[in-house]
Amino acid sequence: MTVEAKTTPSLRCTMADGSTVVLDVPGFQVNDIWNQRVIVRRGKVDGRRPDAAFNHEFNISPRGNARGLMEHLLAADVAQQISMQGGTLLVAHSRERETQGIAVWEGRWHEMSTLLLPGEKDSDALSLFDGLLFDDTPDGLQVRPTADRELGVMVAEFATGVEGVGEVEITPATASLAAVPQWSGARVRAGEVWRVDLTLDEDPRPQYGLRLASRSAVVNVIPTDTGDAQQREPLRFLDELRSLSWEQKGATS
Amino acid sequence: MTLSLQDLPSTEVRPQTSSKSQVRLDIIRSAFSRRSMFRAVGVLSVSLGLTTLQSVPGARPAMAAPSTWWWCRDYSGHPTYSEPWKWCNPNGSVDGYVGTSFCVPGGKYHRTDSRVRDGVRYEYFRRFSSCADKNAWRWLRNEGPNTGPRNVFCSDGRFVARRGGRVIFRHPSVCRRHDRKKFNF
Repeated sequence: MTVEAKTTPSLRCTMADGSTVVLDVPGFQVNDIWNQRVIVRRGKVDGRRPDAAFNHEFNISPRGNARGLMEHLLAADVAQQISMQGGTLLVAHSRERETQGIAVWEGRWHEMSTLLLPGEKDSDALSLFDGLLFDDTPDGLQVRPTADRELGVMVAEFATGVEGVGEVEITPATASLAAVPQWSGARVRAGEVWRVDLTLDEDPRPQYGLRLASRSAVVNVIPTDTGDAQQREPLRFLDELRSLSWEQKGATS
Repeated sequence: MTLSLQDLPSTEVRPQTSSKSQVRLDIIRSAFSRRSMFRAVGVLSVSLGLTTLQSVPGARPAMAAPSTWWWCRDYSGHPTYSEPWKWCNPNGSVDGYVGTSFCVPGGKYHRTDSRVRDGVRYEYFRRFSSCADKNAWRWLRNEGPNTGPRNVFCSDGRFVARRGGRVIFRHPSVCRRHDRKKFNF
């Protein structure tokens, strides 16, 4: 991934499935640490159990994210460490009995991790990575299944932060159609914008988030401060957004 | 600067005078016209996906839904479920760092403040779309997949850790509460 302003997009990242997310917004600093939510589906969906019962969720981030979690939050020690596909696969368990552990494949630039149940066996943790082929480059980590036809890799979301704005969570538009209102939003260069009411039953102060839909992606903006008087920079961010896209691998549009 | 919060249409309430969303129509056209999409997932699955999304209760933006959502999806058959993580896990996995420390102190929603611990500043955000386009959901005992001993309320979020102003790591997180009477769910 590259993070630059002016002549290149603020963010361009290759996703696990080979698709590409581009966010072009001059004048804003996009964080270079991000989370990509990846779902690996094993087995044939049979209609007898929920589709999601076949899924396991992983997080892809720039290398070092999982080590930060291990050190500062999980209090985890490495139990297993093996070399695999040009990287390292490690399993770590928390020293605290009820805290989750973590399994992570670390490549040269990126990593793919999943949290583990307390006390989960090392062999079970390692098997979560069975059948996955890693292709790590500076642009992103692609993950492909081996020839096994009952194994699929899907990207559900890409999330990062923008300084002075808050969190941005980007999803492919076709998967997020239900989140796009049937009525028109405010028109900006990159698409249409709506406000999302976040006021809670236990806190009556009005709070808002923002949503922008482009032809290929939907972005939710979670402001650092969700109060209605604090939306100046999040609104300016969406106003200044030149383009937002999530292009599928091999797309011809 | 042309956008203002007051002038923005809501995602939940249709304005009295409104036109159809052009970008929404573009998304639907794009899904059905892109050759790569057909190659990747097939016509049938795209059609089913779009239809299903429209029919999920609570996923309809037009619905003035409450801020809590009790039934996200049914994961009761997940083979790797283990107590107690399943109750605050809308994505059918063990991802997401789950615990009460992610809740607003004395409240049932994910915190949105920041705090410093061991020289690391943690900033908390409440995600608003992760569970059928809602932030929070609840599992009531003996309803849906919750056959466990307790009612559970979950609120989804994320945290960002910074040192010296620089982001050093970030991850999804979930606030989990158990006491139904105390937290009114």
